[in-house]
Amino acid sequence: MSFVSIVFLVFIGIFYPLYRVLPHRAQNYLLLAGSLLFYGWWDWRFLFLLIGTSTLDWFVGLKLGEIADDARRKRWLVASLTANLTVLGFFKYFNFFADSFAHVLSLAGLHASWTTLHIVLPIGISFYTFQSMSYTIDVYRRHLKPGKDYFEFLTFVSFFPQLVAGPIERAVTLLPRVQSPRRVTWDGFTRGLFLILLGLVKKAAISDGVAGSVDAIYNRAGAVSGADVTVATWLFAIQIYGDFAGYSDIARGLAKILGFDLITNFDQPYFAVNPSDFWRRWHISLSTWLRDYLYVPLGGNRGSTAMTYRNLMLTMGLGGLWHGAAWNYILWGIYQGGILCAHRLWTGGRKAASHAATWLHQLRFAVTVLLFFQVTCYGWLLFRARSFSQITSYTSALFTSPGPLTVPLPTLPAVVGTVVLLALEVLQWRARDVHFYRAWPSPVRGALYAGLLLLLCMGLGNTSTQFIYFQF
Amino acid sequence: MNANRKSSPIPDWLATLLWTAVAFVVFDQALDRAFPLPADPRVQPSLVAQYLDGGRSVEAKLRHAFSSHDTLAAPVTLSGWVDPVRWPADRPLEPGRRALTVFGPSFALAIGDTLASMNPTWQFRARGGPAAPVSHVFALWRVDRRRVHSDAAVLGILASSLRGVNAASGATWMFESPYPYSYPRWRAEGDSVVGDWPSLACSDSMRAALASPERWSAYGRELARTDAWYRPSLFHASWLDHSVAFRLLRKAWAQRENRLMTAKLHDRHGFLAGAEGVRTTQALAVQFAREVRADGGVPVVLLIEDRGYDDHLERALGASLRAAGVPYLSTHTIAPPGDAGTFTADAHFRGELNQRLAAAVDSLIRTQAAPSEGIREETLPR
Repeated sequence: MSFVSIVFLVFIGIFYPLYRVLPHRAQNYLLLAGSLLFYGWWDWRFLFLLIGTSTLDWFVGLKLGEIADDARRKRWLVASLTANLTVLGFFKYFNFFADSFAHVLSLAGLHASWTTLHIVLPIGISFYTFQSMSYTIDVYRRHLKPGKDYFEFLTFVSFFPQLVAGPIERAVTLLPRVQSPRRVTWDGFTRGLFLILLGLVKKAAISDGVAGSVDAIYNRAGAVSGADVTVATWLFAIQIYGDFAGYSDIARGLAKILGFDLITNFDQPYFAVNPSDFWRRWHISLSTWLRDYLYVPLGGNRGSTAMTYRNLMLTMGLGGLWHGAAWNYILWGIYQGGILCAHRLWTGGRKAASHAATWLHQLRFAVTVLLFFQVTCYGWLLFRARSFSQITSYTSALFTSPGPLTVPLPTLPAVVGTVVLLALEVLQWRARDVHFYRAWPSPVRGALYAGLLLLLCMGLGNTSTQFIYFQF
Repeated sequence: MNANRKSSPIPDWLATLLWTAVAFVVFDQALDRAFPLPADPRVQPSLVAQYLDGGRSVEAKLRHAFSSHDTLAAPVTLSGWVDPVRWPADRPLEPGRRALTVFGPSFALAIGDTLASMNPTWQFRARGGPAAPVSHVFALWRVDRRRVHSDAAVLGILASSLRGVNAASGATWMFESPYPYSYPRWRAEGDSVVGDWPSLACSDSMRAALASPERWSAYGRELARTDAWYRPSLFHASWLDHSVAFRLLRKAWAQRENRLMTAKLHDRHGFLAGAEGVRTTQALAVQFAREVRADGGVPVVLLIEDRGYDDHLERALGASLRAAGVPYLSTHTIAPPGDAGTFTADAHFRGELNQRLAAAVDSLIRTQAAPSEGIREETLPR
């Protein structure tokens, strides 16, 4: 079930009061039952996969805890990773690689004939597979003791607020919260509610409100102008941020009112000034996962310069592939790897200076943010495009066909919502505090909450679309 | 939390909650007053006012549109009514010309108009309403055939209006911009179709019903019986119409209902075989052709595939129309809905496509008509 649905409203209306009155152990059972119901609502058959891979990883975790011999431990880890990646690969990438292979053969004049399997992609499979894999790797590395209780482990993997679109939580942080009693403070409860409200506004008012304008250009069969491509891609940048950050906010808010703290997945990514900065702010749970479980084991930046660039390209290319079984995602990953390498080459790996106080520095900062936003947006063009030919024709239009602008206007809540969101992000930036609004007097806070509620009412009238990241 | 707040007799959370409620009401009413609908329904409201008003109840929208008198009412209040009492008088058929009547929504009427301008043999008559579903235009045909003979009659079936087939008024299935005209909800019975004629069939009776609580309640009961799209919470006015937030929530609710109702008829692959809208449309199209022929005319069914529908009407109705020997034309062959260049800014077909469609309709009529009927061919553009 989707967070933005009446079914979910009914679900949480029944679930939450029960959760609050139950003792810790019963809370966990309820959480597990609720999570399985939440996930099975899409398709109950997906539950077998979720439970199957989780059971395997739990069992491997126990074995890793029992065995002292490093070689045997490694074999268990490899078995677990192979099983997880095979399941992920089969459900997510089989048709993609089969079609690509057939295409390559056809280029060589050979005709491959097989029946395409109509594989249904289980929602959120990339998210929970990575989460579950992080557990076995951390147990293998002895960063974490294996969980003895199967149901607690299953609750950790299937935790419904972040199950289908993250943040990808580490067992090191989330599993202990499942295992120990939780206390929901009033402060945590109100912060959670605010996050939920903000997330709903980002999704329903902003993201859904610009989706139609983006689709009008990216789904167009005929020619488009450079102005259309530029504006539609800017709007897509807003759409994907509203969609994904909105989901993450709702997930974090729900977790908070249940007594859990999830990782902050987005930290004002469009205020980034370079690619490294961007990846410290965008989809943080994935970028840190890739860093800790792929980039660093590959050697990170500890080897030669060439090896560092290779590791960056590999990590980002695979990060692109993680998003979906399509060449444009791989291309997007390669683009991200490329600009990270270029930035590293340019700066020699030195970090940029932090905020500066003078107006000249602030102006320079604003210009850099705006310029780097265009670099990010070209990445979104690759990400959103439906084919290679669209990528080439749209890229060409950017340079050869300036006008006219025919993008339909986004809806009213999207326009108002984007302005409000930008204002909030600037205030947060200036205050350097996520909870900056809590220092405001209660009438001002009341006005903020009321304004967001009204925006949400407006946004509910937008044509609802599924969260983009559910497909990953 | 500062010291002042801690010393306050009201807890901070309660104060914030109260301020939120107060601010919500203030914002709500400020928006309502800042963006009012123009008092004159003939004046186009601003985009913001239109947006914020979209969730007002159907009844409130109709009251505003009808105003106090016909001369002050919105033009939409006069269009599409099936009772001919206020239909404009028909021009007598000129010597040497033949009567072509097009029953359908604006798409079909534009094609008919184009055809008449291309081939002066035809004297064009239009019978329809905005976004008219086939059950509405079939009712118009039933009324019109008793009054005027049509040498050729075209029934326009608009893909996006198929949803309205199981409604009884343009006011229920088009919640955000309701059209007040009403029509029967038809059902196939044996070889024929039967429908319950609406009690309010002209603008005068609608105006009278709006002025009488009893008649209005009776109309509500009638819609509950005959109209699958009728929802009392969306239809009837209440004091909540004065709240912008409530209107926005009602709009969202109406959209949800719309999605649920549409899902029973259509998915991304096409119309669902066996859905009431499809079955009724098949029956009405076949019955239309039968009756036109019985009256000595030439029938043509025009399947209008508008944006987002590809060849869905063709796939849903084509086989049954061919089996019944009904001459038809699906617009997707000439005006592909997937091509952005097919449509004008107001989502209608572009002029040159209307010309090609008109020529195709003309050709279809000629192939159906007996040679002795002498429809001139030479004036058609090649």
